[in-house]
Amino acid sequence: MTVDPGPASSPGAVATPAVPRRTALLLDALAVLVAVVLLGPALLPGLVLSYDMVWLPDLPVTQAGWGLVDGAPRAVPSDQVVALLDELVGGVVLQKAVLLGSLVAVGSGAHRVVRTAPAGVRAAAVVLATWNPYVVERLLLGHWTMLLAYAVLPWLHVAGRRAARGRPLPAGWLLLLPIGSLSGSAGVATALAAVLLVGVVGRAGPRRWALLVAALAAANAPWVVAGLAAPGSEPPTAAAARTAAEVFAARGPDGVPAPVAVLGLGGIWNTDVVPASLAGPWAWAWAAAVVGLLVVASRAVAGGPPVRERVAVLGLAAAGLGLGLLTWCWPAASAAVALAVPGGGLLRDGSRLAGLALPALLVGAATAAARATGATRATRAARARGARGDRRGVVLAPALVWVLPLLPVAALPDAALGVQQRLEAVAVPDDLARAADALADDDVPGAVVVLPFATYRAPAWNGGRPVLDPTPRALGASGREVVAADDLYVDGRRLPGEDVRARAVLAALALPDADARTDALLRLGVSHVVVDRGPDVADAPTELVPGLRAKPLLTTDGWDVRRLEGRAAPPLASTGRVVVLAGAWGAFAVLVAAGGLGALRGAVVSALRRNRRAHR
Amino acid sequence: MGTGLIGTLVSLVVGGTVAAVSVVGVVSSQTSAPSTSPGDSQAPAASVIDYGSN
Repeated sequence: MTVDPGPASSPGAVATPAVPRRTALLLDALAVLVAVVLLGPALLPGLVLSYDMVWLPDLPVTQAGWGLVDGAPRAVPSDQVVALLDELVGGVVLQKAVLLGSLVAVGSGAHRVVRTAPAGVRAAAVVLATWNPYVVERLLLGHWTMLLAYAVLPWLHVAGRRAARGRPLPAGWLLLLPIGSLSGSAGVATALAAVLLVGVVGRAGPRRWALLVAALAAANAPWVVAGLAAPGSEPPTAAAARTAAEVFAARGPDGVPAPVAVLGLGGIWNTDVVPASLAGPWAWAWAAAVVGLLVVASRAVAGGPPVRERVAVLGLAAAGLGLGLLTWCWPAASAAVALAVPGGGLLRDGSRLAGLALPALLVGAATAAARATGATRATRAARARGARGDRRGVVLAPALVWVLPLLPVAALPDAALGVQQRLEAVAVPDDLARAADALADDDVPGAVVVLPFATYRAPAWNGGRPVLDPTPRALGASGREVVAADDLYVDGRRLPGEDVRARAVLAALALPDADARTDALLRLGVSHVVVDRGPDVADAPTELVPGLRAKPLLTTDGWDVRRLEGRAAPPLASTGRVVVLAGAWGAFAVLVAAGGLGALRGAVVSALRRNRRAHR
Repeated sequence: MGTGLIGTLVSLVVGGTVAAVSVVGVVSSQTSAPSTSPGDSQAPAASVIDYGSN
């Protein structure tokens, strides 16, 4: 029979021996080292642009950034937060801080979750949390907001444990919620994690539950309200929802079944971003290790985490990994959710939440360490009595523990140095800013359309790597509304976007002659077009970049700016939408301020305490 | 004494093997061509850039 030792004896509990500060600092240094080796060339001067990761040297503050968009608010609130913060440090430094900071934070938090385990296990927790298929695949696909949500997981876990011991939550814990909720999917992941790790593990009372729910509502308000208030968003058809569900379902690379890939913390839909090492036996090794740690996490052990904590983290892992498995085995269900529930399309990328398994993996590691430590003690005690003792204590010899941190690297070696230099910092051409200036200087009002009217690019200046077209974001600096394409193509299969205005532009561009196309665009409020002249789009279908009645304003090596001949229709005002969005952003700002002030206060109090101790 | 020696030997063998596998894996992955090359800007461009492939 196993006995639940209760929270007081869980790792990190007051009753456990204090961990030397120097050890923690060394493990933090290891987290930095691992993150630097993983990111490699991504940390060199320049910006990393990879699939959905679109950064600019100076992202402008735009109406779209506030959520005044017609389609799905995919970049709310992340774009506006970046646009505001890069005014302080610039986009290049900010992106390095976000990428490096998220990886260091997750490694640094991970060893605190297993703080009473032997140092080798704590080091392994650092490497496992940072160097795994989930982090690598999401990095390559550019899901940096998901990495931030992933990075706050161990800190929410530590906060919940602290609360379980009857102590107040750490100062500034509220700041974790907006950091982890910079996009819709990230917000869902952080909300699930906060409920289970802070609410359930932390044994929240009614007041703390109320605070938690209110804080989560505020953290997610910008994207939720922007989505609900979007007037020009069209729900997908049943056929489109079904196609999207099939395309974005979890899967494995060739030769690896989807369940194996998902259980190994991978399973991303886009096999182009799966490292080669995960297409072979290592995928099975990852799955076996993850399943093994989850099984261990479910077992009670003296000195291990209490049952409430184990249930909570296993529930979180089940949600994260279960979603991936569900989208693979039952895509019709995720299609039905996308049709029936506003924002339900967030869940179609099945493996996006797989990182939620991290707390359970850490609890598994802590449990295994507690079990091995207990066995070793028993062996020593038996030897002291002259008996033979439990030989399990020998198996996990102290030196062997130091092998553990190397295992994730051995099982995913091609993650090193920016995943084989696939994450590389580049210089964004100045011509983009010149194009925005030309649009700003022209006094004819109206919106801008970027041609070819396609969502993704693979610019030569980005090494031919695919990226969501950065042009619309850059042109936002002109102060004009930019109508961007939102159809996606996966393996040549078209997935229609939700923006009705983009759809209308596409229909206008398909009209048979230049005059008809130009007049149709003017009626939609479009006054200018910017034509991308990169070699990657040189062969774009003519219907995506047709001839128009337009006057050139600026010609550069990369982009042409043209003004349509005629008067564009004025935009429709929407005061009510502005008011509700202002309320949502106000709530978000209050949460950030409360969390920031709490963190500042905590830092000051902690520094004063250290100072006082030093003078004793 | 005996079990301690066995533990140390096992640690050395396993640790050495894992370390060697890690180093060889990292070095060979960095010196070989990437499994998925970024698009070649000189090659004929696709008609529409795909978001990805299954």
